[in-house]
Amino acid sequence: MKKHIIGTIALALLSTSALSQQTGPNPYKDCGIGAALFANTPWAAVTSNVIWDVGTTAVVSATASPETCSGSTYKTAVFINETYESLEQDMIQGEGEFIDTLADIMSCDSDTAKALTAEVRQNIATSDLSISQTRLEKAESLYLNVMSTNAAKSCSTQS
Amino acid sequence: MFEVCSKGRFLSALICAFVAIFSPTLHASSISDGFIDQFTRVMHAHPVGANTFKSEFLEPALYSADSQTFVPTEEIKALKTHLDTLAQAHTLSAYYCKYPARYLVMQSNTTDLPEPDYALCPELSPFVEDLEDISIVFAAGYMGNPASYFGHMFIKLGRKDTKLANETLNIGANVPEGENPVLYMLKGLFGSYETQYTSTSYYKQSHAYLQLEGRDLYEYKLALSEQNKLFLSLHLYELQSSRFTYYFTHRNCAYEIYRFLYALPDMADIGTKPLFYPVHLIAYLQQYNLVTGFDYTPANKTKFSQLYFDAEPATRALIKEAIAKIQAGVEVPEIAQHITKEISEALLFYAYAHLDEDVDKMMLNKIKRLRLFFSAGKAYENSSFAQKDLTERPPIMISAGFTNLGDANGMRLTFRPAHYIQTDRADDVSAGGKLVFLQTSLFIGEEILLDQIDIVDVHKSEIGKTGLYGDNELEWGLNVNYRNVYNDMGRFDDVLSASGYIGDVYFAGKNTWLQYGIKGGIRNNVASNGSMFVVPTVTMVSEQNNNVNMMISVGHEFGFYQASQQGVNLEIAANVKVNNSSAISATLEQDLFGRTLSLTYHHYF
Repeated sequence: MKKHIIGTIALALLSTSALSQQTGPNPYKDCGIGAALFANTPWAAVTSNVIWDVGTTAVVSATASPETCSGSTYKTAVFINETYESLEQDMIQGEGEFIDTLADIMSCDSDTAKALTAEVRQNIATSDLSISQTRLEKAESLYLNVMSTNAAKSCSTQS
Repeated sequence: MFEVCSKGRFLSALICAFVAIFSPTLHASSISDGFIDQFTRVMHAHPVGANTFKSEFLEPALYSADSQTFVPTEEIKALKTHLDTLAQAHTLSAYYCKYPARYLVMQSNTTDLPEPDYALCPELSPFVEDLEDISIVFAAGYMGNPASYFGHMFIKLGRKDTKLANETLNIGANVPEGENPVLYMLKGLFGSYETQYTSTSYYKQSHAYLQLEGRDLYEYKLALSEQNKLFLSLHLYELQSSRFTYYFTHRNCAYEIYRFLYALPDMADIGTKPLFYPVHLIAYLQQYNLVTGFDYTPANKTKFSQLYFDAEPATRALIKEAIAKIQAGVEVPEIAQHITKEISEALLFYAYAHLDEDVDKMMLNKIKRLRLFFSAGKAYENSSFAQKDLTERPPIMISAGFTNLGDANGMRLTFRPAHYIQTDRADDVSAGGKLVFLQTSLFIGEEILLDQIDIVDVHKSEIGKTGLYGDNELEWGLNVNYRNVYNDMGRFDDVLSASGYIGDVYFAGKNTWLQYGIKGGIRNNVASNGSMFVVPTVTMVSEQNNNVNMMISVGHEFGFYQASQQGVNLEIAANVKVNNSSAISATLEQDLFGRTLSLTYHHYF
C-alpha cells in the first residue's frame, strides 16, 4: 500500500514535471499562487463578500522573471486557481461561461477555445482522477493540462 | 459649446450631450430647486431640517461645512468658488478627475465652468469609455450566513462580450477578521461598520455564489439612455473613493445601489424605509421599467432539484439506480449503457452540489467520468430552469384578523419586520422552512394586550430536498418566543419559551411534503403544564399552483418538570394568495394552553 502511494506520488510529480517542460515557467511554483488562498475565510468574510485573497500576498520566487508573474499566463493560472471547480465542471460538460472566460484571458478565438476544451476534456477522461491531490494541486494540474494542449499554442498567452 | 463638443473625443462628446440635455438655463447667482435636487442626489444627501441636508458619505468633501451636514445653496456657492480658484490655477482637473459626476452637475447648471479635459484623468477615461451596459446582480438568500439570509446585490459593469470577464463593484460591511459573532450582529444593526465599493471580477463572484454557496444569480441589465449611462458611470467612478456607514437593516448593499441609481435626475424616490431589502430594489427596477434585459443562472443544487422533481418516475428511478450502482462500485461503462446524456448531466449537477470532495471522492470521480462518457455540449441551458418570482411576498408583513383565544374574541394585529422568502414560500401555513425576526402581535379584545413576540423563529430545511445520498441533511429549528395565553380562570398568563427542533422531511413531489421530527424546550411553568416539554410532530404541507397552501400538523406534547401534563398539539391552516403583496389565511391551533382560531388578512411590502 505504501509503495503504491509513493508510486502514485512519483507518477504525479513526473507527469507534472513533464508537462512543465512543455508549458514553460509555472506560475504556481514560481509566483506562489495559492499561498494566500483560503488562508482564513471566517464566516464574516462571506458577509463582506471578500471570498478570498487573489494572491496579492503571494511570494515571487527569486528565479521567476517579472513576466512569469504578470501577463496573461499568470492571469490564466490565477483564474484557474480561483475558479477550479466551476471551470472543471464546464470542461467536463464541454462548454460554458468559465471556458469562455478562460479563452478571453488566454486570447483564444472561439474555434481555438473549442479545440482546447476538447483536448482538455480528453485529457481529463484519460487521467487518473483517483490520485489524491489538494485543491491547489488539482488547479495546477488543470493549468498544466490547459497550457500543454496544441490549441493553447494558438492563443496569444503562449506567444 | 456644441462646436467645441463636436471636436472632442467620444467621451467628451457624450459629456456635451449630457450637459446639453440636463442643463437648464441657470446661472450661479440663481440656484434653482432643480439644481439643488441634482446636487443633493449626487451627494447622496437626505434632508435633516429646513433647507439642511446630510450627505451619507463619511468624507463628503464639503466646502461650506466641516461635517456631513450642509445647506445646499451655501455648499453650491462654496464649491463654485473653489472650482473657480482651481480653474484660475489651472488645476481644475484635480477636482473633476476625482468627482466627475459632481463636476458635471455643477457645469451643467452654471455657464462659466470649462469642459473637463478627460485626457488629464488617466484612470477615469478607461473606466467610462468602453462601458456598454450596467447590470444589477442579485445573489439569492443563503442560510449559511446570518447576513446573507435575504440575499446580496452588486453592480456588474458590462464592457466585454464574455460575461464573466467583466468587473463587478460590490458593497459589503468591512468586518475585521476574527470579529465576535455577537458583536457582529449588534454592530451591524447599529451601524458600526464602514463600507465602500470594491472591485471584483464577475467570474469570482459567480464561482463563489453559484459553485461554493449554491446560490442562484439574477442579473438585471439597466435600461439607460447613453447620457444616463455616462452619468452613472462617472458617478460610480467617484463612489469608489467614498465610504459609507453600513447598517444591515436599511443602509446595506441594496440601499447603496438604490442611492447610486437615484443620482439620476429623473429617478423616482423610493421613500424612507426603516428596513430595505434587495427584493425592494428589484421591485423598484421592475416598477419603473428600469430593466432592459434579464439573465438567470441557477446553481447546481437548483438545477438538480428541478430536474429530479420534474422528471418522469421512470427517469427518477434511473437516477436513483445510477447512484446506487456508483456507490456499489459498478464500472462507469456499465452504468452509462443504461442512462442518457441528460441523466449524466443531472448527476453531474448532483455531484457538484451535494457530494463532498474528501468524503465522496470515489462517487464524485465516477460521476465526472460518466458525464465524460457522453458527448460534449450542455444538455440543459439555463433557460431550461424556472426562476422564482423574487417580488412575491416581500419580507415585511402586517396582518389583521379576527381571533378567538379560548373564550376571548378580538382582533389580532401582527407586524413582521423580516422573513426570508425563499424558505417561507407558503408563509404562515408552511412549516417547511422559515426565518422570522421579531414578529409581534397585539390582541385587541376587551383589553389591548401584547399577544405574542417571536424573537427569532428559524426552521432550516432544504426546499426541494431529494433525499438522495448527500442531499438528505436533517432539518432543524430554533424558536425564542413570548406569548400571552388565556387560562381557565379567564385571565391571561405570560409564557416565555425557548425550543429547538430536529427532524426530517419526505418530498412526495415538488409541492407536497411530509415533515417529522421532535421539538423540545423550556418555558416558565404556567397552568401546571411543566417547565420542560417534548413534542413529537408530524406535519403535512401542500402547495397548489403557488396560490393555495395547506398544512396539517399533529403532535403529542409531554410537559414535565415542576408539573406534568400531556395532550394533543394540532395545527390546521390554509393560506390563499390574493396577489404578490397580499394573502388570506385561516388557522386553528390547539395545544396545552388552549385553542386559537384565526381568520387573517396579510399584506406584504
